[in-house]
Amino acid sequence: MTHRRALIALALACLAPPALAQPAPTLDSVMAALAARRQGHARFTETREFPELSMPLPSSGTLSWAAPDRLEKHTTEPVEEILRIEGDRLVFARPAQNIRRELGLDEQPELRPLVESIRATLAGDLPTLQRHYEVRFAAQPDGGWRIDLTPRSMRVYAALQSVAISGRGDAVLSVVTRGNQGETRMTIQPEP
Amino acid sequence: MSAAATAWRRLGLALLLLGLLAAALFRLVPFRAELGDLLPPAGTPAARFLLDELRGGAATSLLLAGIEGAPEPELARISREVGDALRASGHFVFVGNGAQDLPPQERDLLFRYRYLLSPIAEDPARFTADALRPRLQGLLDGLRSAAAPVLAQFGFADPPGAFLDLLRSWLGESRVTMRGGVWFAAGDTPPRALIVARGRAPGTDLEAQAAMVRAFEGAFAAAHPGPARLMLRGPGVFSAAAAAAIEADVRMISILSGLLIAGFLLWRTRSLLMLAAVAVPLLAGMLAGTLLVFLVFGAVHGAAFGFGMTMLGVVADYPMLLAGQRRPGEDLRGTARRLGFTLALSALAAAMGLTAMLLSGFPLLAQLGLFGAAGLLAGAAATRWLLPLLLPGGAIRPRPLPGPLPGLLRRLRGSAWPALILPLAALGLWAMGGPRWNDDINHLSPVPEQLRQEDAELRRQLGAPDVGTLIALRGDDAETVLRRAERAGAALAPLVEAGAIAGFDSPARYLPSAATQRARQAALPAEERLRSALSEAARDLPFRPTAFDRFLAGVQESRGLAPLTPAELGPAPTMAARLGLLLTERDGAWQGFVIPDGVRGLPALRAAVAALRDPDILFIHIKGETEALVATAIAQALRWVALGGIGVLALLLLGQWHQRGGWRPGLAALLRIALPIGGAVLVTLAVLAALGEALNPFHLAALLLAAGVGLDYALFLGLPAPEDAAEGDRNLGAVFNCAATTLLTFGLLSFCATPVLRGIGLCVSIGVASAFVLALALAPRGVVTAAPAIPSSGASPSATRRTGA
Repeated sequence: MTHRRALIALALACLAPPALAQPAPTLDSVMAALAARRQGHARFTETREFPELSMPLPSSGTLSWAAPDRLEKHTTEPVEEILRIEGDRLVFARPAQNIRRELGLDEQPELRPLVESIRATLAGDLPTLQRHYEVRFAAQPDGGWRIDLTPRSMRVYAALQSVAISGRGDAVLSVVTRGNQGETRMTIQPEP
Repeated sequence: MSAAATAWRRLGLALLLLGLLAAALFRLVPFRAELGDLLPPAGTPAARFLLDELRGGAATSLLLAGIEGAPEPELARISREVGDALRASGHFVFVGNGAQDLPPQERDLLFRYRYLLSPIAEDPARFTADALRPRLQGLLDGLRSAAAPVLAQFGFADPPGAFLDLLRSWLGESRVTMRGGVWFAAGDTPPRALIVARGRAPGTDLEAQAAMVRAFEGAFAAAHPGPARLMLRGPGVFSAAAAAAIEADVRMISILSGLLIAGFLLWRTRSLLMLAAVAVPLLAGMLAGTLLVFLVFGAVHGAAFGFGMTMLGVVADYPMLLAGQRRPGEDLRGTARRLGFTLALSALAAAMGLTAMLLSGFPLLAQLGLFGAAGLLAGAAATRWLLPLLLPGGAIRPRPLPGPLPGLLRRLRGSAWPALILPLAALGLWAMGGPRWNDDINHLSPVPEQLRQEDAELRRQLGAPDVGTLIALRGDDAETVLRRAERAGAALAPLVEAGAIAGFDSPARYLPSAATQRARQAALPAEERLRSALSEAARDLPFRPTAFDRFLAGVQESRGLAPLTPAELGPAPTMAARLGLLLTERDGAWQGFVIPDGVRGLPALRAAVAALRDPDILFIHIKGETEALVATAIAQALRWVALGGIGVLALLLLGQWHQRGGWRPGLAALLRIALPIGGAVLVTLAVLAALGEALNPFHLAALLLAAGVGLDYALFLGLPAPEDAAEGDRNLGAVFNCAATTLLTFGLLSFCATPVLRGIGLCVSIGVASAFVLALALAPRGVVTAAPAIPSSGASPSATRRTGA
């Protein structure tokens, strides 16, 4: 993994010169940029690692975002799965197994913080983010940024230790979620 | 004037003494207001069980609440605050509003005991490689999904899925929806947050119930509800509401009817003395009734006292009959001597009719009967012996009836034609199929209909089962009851398969008996076997060798656990609350319920339970059972009423034989008395049937009362033919005054909100009015109304009027 990260860093370093022209991002400027973006589409690849498994489990699909609160993750490989969040409702569906479940974000205490880590970030909604998480921001030397989230609630912390979100400008490029059950890395390629 | 002054002094002293006695008595006598006393007695074990449950079962400690009338987020906030405050109050075993589903320590407890609680563990095949392999593949698949965190948390430690199955089966059927973190009623209606709370105290503890209700209302008020409304329902609230409803009605009636009667008496006698005189036998009757009921039953039910006082309104008749029929120049003592026999006969016969209620078996009716009988006799005695001493000379002068009334009544007297109504009433009653009896137990309850409907609605929204049938279990300890629940469950399972019932709830579903838990432990595989089954199941799958160590350790631990018992559910409030409704300890014995739902095949269900041949597993069809209960009680009450009626007839015959000096005239006089009373009962039944009023045991009591009152009229109007016109008019006037006051009181009762009181009011008003008319029509024609006497009858009232003016 480390050499892959090094590769990415190298690639980013190559892209660095134009970014240098801009001032270093701050949390407020990043949030403002994210908030200004009303919608977006992206492809993602995701790998989940569990201590009990001898290999990571990959998956991929598309993401779409529409301000203020609609987020859909459509996994196409290896099994089709739809996760849609709108307002206070969450819909989870696996068409192949004929599973469709709809639940409120408050039905389970861990659910809303998990959802808001992504959604509130995409919405540029810092107060919501700070309600659930300790927020740390770091500007990257390459002109990108990184936000580290640590849950405020002990109960949430027991399941989810950290979320690291990095991006550039108004685009989120990766999300790494570390829980006590394993680690999930999502890499995002924005589509125009 | 001096006679009046003496009368005032003596009356005042008597009233003061009686008042002091009453004050002392009310300090001594405990009053109660339990709804259970309004229920009929139980004849069968099933009925007894049901009544015990209705009186103080687990369900009686439930409070259901809806919060509405504000925007949804506001309602959610209020619900959360109220829920937290109630949990902190210490009044409740469990408070459910959705905010606290499965606290972590409960989840840990259930997870630890998963293979003892879940039926999965019973089947050793679930732990073989063949069964485990698809579970492992499913786990792997699930780990790719968004549900991965949950699956990873439980899947590796429990690949057979015992724990998640358990949760799904417990929580899956909830009908509420979750919004803003709390329960809301499902549907598009205006938002309503739902809370269910179970108190520590049983429903019989009215004080504690009231404290629970106060805690609820206090918590609501403290949450700054703004425009939101709290809708609180449940047996505890009902007791309070019923008591309040009866109290409000009784207060309204006593004040209004007191004012009306006082006004009427003042108008009729132009004498405050008469008012005071009426109060003496009334007070004496109340004292005697209260004291006797207290001595016999140990306490007086508030409703019995309230109804009883309205019944004692009849006692006011006695002084009116006495003072109203005093001849000019006669001492009241002389009048009392002259009319004493008729008065005694009347009071004795009415009391005899009321004692029938003593044996009806309804605690409330029995108290009412005793109160009425004792009060009537005491009131009559006070009128006969005390009043003449208090009212010397002609302190109260009877006044003639106003306007055309005397003429009208005189013409009616002995005219017999109103009796034509009797065959008509009989025909009508026959055409309507006889009187309708009401066997719905709810109609005996003074709980307002609207409250009951709102309660049913809240229950439906909370998904509380609509219990129509249940299987009651008994045992010396929880384990015995749980084993019986399992036996009953085994008998019901084929019915679910066959579609005779949709399913059933059972305490064993939440907590299996220790025997079953041990059987499950014994069926769990040994570590080595399980390990090899697992490694075979995981072949070619990307699991590390240590992946399922938590599972292996969990099964090993399960094999050594002591079975979980109800006493150890402290850290598991959700489970304890669910179980607590189905399994309870009462008075050292344990009882439980298995509740079938979606019953389509009632006979099959009944047969399946009967086939168990266990007297401690009791099938109860609630509607059928309560209807049978009320029907039996009504039949029993009718039997006693019939017996009482025969007793009254015998007493009257004896009296008339004595008064008329022979059997033949005695029998004729008895007919004259019995016909108006029987006729009045007939007319009342016909009118009630025409009004669509279904009869319940309280109507029966009211009919008895009406018959007793009618008896007065028939006896006094049936006195040997009046000797002169004035005497005849005094007789008519006295009886008319009685009928008018009774109609005033009970006519008011017909406007009560409490169904029971309204029924009594209607029944007595119709009965008394028809008894008066019939008794008058069948009374002996006096010389007064004979054709030649017309001029003298015309002169007499005008002469009296002149002297009165």
